[in-house]
Amino acid sequence: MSDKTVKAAVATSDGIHCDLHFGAAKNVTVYVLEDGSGNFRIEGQRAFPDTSGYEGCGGGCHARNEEFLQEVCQILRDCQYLLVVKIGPFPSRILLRSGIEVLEQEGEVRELLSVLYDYINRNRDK
Amino acid sequence: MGRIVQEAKYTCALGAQQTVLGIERAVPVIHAGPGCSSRQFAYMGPGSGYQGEGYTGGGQIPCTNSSQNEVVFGGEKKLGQLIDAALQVMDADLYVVLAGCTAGIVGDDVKQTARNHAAEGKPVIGVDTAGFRGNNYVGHELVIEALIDQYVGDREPEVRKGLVNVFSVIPYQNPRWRGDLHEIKRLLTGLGLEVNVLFGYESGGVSEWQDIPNAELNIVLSPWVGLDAAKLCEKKYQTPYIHEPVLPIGLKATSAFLRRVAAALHMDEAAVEDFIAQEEARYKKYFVSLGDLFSDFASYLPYDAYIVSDAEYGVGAADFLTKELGMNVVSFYEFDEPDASAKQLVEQALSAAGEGLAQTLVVEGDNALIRADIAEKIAERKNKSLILGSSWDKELAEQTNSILVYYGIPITDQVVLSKTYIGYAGALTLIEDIYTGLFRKGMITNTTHGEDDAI
Repeated sequence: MSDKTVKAAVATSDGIHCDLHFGAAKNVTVYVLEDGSGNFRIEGQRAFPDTSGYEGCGGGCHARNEEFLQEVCQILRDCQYLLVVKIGPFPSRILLRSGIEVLEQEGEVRELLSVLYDYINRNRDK
Repeated sequence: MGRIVQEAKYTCALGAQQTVLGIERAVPVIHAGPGCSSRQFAYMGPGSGYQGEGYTGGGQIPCTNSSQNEVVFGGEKKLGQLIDAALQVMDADLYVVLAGCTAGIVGDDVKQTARNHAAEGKPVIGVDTAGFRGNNYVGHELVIEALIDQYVGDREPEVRKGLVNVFSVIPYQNPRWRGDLHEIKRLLTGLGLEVNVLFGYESGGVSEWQDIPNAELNIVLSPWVGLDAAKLCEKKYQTPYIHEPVLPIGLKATSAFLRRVAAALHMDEAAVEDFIAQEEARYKKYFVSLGDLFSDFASYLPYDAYIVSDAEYGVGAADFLTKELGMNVVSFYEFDEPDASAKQLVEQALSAAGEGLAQTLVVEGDNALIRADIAEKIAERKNKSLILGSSWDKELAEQTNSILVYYGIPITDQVVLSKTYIGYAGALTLIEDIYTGLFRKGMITNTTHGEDDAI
């Protein structure tokens, strides 16, 4: 893998659309954005930890459980981006501390990654 | 070359959110990162004499809180959602979208987004006030021009005789803007004019803005801020304007200003002179009563003056202190950092105000450097001094035994409500504040007048 390769994890239910909230995603699909080509390939799915092992808030959401979030960070440690439809500020901050930039978007994965790719390319030499 | 400003006397162009708040029932909608808006408010709200949030200011200001997400994918969608939400929950007459640096760099089209989300009876306009476009003086200019362009729009003027628009002080950045606008309106109304002051409690809110094309004359009461707006009105509505670069403070400047306005409008001279005579008579009685204090404390009176101010208030102060109080302006530190052509306008205004005043001009936006320069000059000149400064200059005044009057932002240990230093009434207040400084602890020695002298 080239050091300029970027990995983006996407919360998708059908592999075509980014359509899941962070709290609703049981797993993410990781895409590899190859340097220079503008193409990306699917690396595979990565499952989030089973939430039953972690204490949730009153509403049953695990997005504020730091232990759970650290596990997620570990799972996504080689990804630079995570695309989800929505995420709370707390998990977003924890992920960012591990170097994972969370982007809130809804739509076709192909289109979203293409915009992300353009952005990365534009800023590569800055 | 860039440098670090230790104590900035202004904020960035996004500070124009306070300009929007100066218009009754107008809401700023901020398209910028988290913190941008609240810092503007902290600086120009509590930092400007505790002026309060206003109708929809401070923590109520809607903001997109743009983040990396908007940098990568653009922020127009989120802005659109925010505008829709603001229209639903905030009851207002006008919504002004202001874009900060993130939106400016990414290239979001705020004007178009604003237009797309406007609704019946809920006008929305968009202005690019990215911080890198300039300071909040520039931001103020951008907003008033956008208001004329997008909100007032192209209109066939129905000119009303005696109606004037005044482009003058900047809301909140100028701590006494409310009182100043009251005095400006009082003076011009006294001449028999109908006045759109455009900002503050005595403006009619957005209705005054809608009335802009109908004015017989525009008055620009500042060396450079507001001048472009007047030119825009001339182009759009054929409204002539007069440019009054010296903010009138005191009898001489105020009477001269009123006479020039009256002449530009071909008003009845007798009626104008009647009003001026009345105002002058009152002013003179108060002024003359100061004579005893002047003779009693002659050796303690300040002779040198240091003015730390933006162009608008500074030129007015230099004019007043020189012509009416007989002081010697050593340096006028202008902190609004005008561009080259605006700086030329300031120099011209100073030259017109008095011989040698243009040479006192120092353009500097960092109060730490200003303070060091004043300290050096006072040490060298050894004269009793007056500093028209801010809360940041308290220590300097104490160390140099100078009189300090809070003239510009930031004012953090004084409450400012309706105070004004301009016109006839304001000049008397300024005189009160200057000479009250004589009785500050340590100022007068060997007398029973010092506040800590027990009798």
